[in-house]
Amino acid sequence: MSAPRHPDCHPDCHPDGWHPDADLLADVAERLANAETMSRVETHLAGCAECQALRMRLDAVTVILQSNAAPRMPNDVSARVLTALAAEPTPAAVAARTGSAGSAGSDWAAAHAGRRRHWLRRCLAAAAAVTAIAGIGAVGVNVFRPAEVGTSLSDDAGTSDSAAPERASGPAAVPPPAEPVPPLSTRLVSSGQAYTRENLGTAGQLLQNPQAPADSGPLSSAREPTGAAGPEAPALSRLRDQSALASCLAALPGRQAAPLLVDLAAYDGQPAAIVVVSGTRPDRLTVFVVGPACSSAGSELITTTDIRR
Amino acid sequence: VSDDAPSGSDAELVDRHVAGDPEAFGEIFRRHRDRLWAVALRTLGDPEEAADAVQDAMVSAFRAAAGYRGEAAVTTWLHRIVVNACLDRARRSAARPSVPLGDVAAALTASRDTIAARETALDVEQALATLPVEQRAALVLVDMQGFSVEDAARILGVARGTVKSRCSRARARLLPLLTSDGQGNRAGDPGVPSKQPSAQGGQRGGDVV
Repeated sequence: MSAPRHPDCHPDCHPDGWHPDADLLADVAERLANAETMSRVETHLAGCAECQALRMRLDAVTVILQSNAAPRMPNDVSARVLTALAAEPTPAAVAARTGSAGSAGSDWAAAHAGRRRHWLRRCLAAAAAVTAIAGIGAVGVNVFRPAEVGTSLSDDAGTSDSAAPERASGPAAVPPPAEPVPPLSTRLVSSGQAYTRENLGTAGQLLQNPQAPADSGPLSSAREPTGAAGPEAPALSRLRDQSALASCLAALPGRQAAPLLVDLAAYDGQPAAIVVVSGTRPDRLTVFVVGPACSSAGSELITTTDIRR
Repeated sequence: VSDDAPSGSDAELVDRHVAGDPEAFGEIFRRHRDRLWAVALRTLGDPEEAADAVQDAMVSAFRAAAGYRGEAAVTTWLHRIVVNACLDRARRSAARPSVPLGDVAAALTASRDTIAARETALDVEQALATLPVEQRAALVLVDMQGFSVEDAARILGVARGTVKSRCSRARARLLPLLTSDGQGNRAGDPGVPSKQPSAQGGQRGGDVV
């Protein structure tokens, strides 16, 4: 049976017509073949110019890969990750919470709160600074654009880190309260869903099911949840007020337009509002999870993620 | 790096993060984000998927930092978490349609200047997309990110020989896509022996020219 042939080899370039293929040459280069095969290939290589050329092309693959310039993380991705990390309690806070005798809910909230306040001050300060520089007024809930926030956070993270904490420490760090302009296209629901990081993607499914029993209709006509809806935590009821919700939405970083949906539900066992907005691409959605106290003074952001629409 | 950026080694920053320093992990992320992004984007070939993978991985690392014992360098530890997140996503999305390669090329070449560099980047990323994801991850770590076989094995959680074998197969597959046979023949070089991409990793193979 004839062995593999490669196209560079003339039919009579080797007496028995055998040539190692690219797989075998690569294995030999990594010394993965057994001793007998290694010896045969190396002997063959010594007398076969075509296979030597093939071997050189194989080496060139590594050279090409090595010389391929590495892409840098885009600013918006970096900002997104930093925002997600900002919502996380530090291990020390979690440990303190675990060891506390207090109620689980309040401990969880306390563990998140300190961390969130610190990061949010920085994020919001950076976003506010960029908005001011760009001359973009805060109108209604359309306050910040993702790219601007991303650029600012990246700069903050890279070369101008020293300025952000100072800006964040003062009252100017928090954006001014937005006008309570109701985002008429936003749907307010109370799905009763117990969200976790793993199932946040299901929030997008509510958008595709306009007849969802928990649907409370457009925000402009928000009403009490229907009987089919899951239990809604009393702490979240304040967000049924249009002004309160608009104030909360205005505090979210990196949003371009009114949310598509707000689900008053729970996240990791705690009351939370799930805010779904259009993503950076038509097939993506961005989900913000905020606590019941979300307002223009602080979004109480718990986490954020991108999901497929 | 600003004067206010937390200083110290990566391992020290991990310790400070675990102890409650709210700035420490952010600094770790800033130090490593470009390399982590590169490995995620090159492994997944989809900027959105790569961003999701990096975000999930960083949150996981943030939460699991107390379990970091310093057996490996922090960068190796982070890369392992990111690569695992990428492999999980790649396996889950294997049946889904691939993203247009133009998106990948745009993201990869956004910061580059020359037409030649853009063309080369496109070639490389298109070629990488034809590989099974396990081979791609190994090759990215060793040939593109510069990890030793030992560190790549630690990141991937496999034996050294497995890393070498995956890289060997991957290079052989890329040979007709990235190099010329001297007669101007490159992609689709019909005679160069090379196994066809598997169903798992070759879902984009038909798009590569």
